[in-house]
Amino acid sequence: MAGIHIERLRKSFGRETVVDIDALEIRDGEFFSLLGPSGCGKTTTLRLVAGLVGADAGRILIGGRDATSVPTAKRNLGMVFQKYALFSHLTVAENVAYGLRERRVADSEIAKKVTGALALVALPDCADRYPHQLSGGQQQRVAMARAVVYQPDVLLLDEPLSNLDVKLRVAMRAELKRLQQTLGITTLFVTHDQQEALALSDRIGVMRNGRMEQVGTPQEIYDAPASVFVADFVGGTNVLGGVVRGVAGASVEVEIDGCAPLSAGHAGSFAAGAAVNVAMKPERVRLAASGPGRTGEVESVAYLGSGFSYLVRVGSQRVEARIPDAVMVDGRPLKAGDRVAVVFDGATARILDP
Amino acid sequence: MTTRRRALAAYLFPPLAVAAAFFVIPLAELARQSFSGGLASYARFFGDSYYLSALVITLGNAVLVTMVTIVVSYPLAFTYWQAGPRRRSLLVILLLSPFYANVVVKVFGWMVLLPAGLREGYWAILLIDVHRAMPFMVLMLAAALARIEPEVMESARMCGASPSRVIRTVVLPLSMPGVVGGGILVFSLTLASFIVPLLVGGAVGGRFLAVLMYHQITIAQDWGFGAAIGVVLLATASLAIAVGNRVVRGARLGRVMGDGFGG
Ligand SMILES: Nc1ncnc2c1ncn2[C@@H]1O[C@H](COP(=O)(O)OP(=O)(O)OP(=O)(O)O)[C@@H](O)[C@H]1O
Ligand SMILES: [Mg+2]
Repeated sequence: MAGIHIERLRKSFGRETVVDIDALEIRDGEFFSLLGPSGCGKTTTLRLVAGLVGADAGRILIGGRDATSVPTAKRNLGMVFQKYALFSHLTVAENVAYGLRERRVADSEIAKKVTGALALVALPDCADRYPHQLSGGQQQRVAMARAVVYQPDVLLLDEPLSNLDVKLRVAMRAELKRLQQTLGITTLFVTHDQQEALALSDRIGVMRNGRMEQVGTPQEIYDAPASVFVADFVGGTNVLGGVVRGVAGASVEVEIDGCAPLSAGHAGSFAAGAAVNVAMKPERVRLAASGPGRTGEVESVAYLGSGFSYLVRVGSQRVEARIPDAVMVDGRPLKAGDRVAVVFDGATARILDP
Repeated sequence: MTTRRRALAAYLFPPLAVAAAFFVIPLAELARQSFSGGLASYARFFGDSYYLSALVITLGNAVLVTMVTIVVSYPLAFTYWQAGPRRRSLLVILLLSPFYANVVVKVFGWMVLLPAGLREGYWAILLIDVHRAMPFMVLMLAAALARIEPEVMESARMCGASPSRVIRTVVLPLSMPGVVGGGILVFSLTLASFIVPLLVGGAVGGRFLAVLMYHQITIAQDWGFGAAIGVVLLATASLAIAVGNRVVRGARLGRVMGDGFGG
């Protein structure tokens, strides 16, 4: 078992800088996800850790030892590829045994460990089949067993669930988490599915153009996105453009077109008249169906089970409000076309970096 | 449906007609002639140790040429597979160069190049047969190697395999369909080899079935016996291809060639 420590890691293909990470610390036993849009450098980061591509600059420490120039085969890592990449000429048992054979483990020991690994991934009866005789989900399990059977220091997973259908993906998610916790293995997981990252991770690193945009727990990433980019990508946050009216201490008075002015927290300094983006959770938005200032128009109402989601157009922007009980107007529930006043909770509103 | 079928028939007719006229009919004629004296021609062939040993020599040469060609071609195909686009285009020109000259031209070329002692006899046959067969083999191997996904080799490296172990335990087994396919091609090509043993084979060249057949027809004027030799040659090649196909189909199911991997 070991943590991963990344320092000023840089990798370019041609003129394009694909990975540029100043510092990243992944703790021993942690489930860490790299989350980001397609092409942002997640796979390349994983391959740098694996040693499958060489770094242009920087250092990677695994378990405290500098692994930057250690060949892949000697890094003692397990990896599951998106396409599983099983050995099609070997049976399931031989696939799983591969890493043990390369480590010259005794035959009797191998048999025991292979049986154990196949039981761990809930695939005990397929040992003598060939990969093409298995379903996608089963192949995925074999790939997982092959990667963990020799007790690697770190498990690297590159979108291992993305080839499965939706239902199976959600089921495998839970199993993956259980497996990781059983083994207590440091895991670096790549995905562009925010739900997956939020559900599985101890911490998430959101990547953008090869850089770490924000690192934090799922809750931090979801509740307090550090930038417009993270808020947009992770979702679940209203991002509204506004103009600074004045500054008072650590709070900034912002005016959002069509809404009452609000004060939002931020550490930086702003000049009056500057354009800013304000983040606001849908759960923190209230709607007033009567009284003055009803500048918003309800576009749609959706029942989510746990409450109602209202999409409201104010000025040129759209705001989502989530409210546990239906908002009533004239004794009937609010519906599309009704006019409402949008009220923000200034205490939880935050100004985002662009 | 019927119009589509009719259209298909119209498309298929010309090639089928050509195949029938120039392949099936002559072949049937060859078979008919071989039985012109009942089974006499075959009785003569299989009853005479001279002809049986000629069959062994012809087969043995085809097997040896196939094996040598595999051994020589594999590193070339591997280099081609690993090369970047620039080196690839250069390599392809070099690899296909044997195709640019007819086999007769190749034989005379080698006669000029080889030292006097090697210009005639079995070693000359082997050398020229291998030279002729190599491009076919390299192309088949390169096609098989190209089908191996990089992630599969990377998986092996992640599991702790050194580069040479990756080749032995992953690349070699996964390229077996190419080895077998190329092997069948080279084997058939060499089995029917005629010009090479005739021109550079010396005494042993006269013991190759294709040359014997030629002599039966041109010198002895025994069409029946010549045809029988041809049928034996054809049957041998077909049998070899059938066996090879079996092996390839087995390969797709996995396990062609073990590397000491469990039971
Ligand atoms: N071997 C390579 N040669 C050249 N460019 C490459 C290579 N590998 C990756 N790239 C480029 O690097 C960038 C990042 O690629 P990477 O595969 O790391 O993205 P990713 O975040 O994993 O995306 P995805 O979610 O689509 O898998 C892309 O623009 C890609 O085109
Ligand atoms: Mg990727």
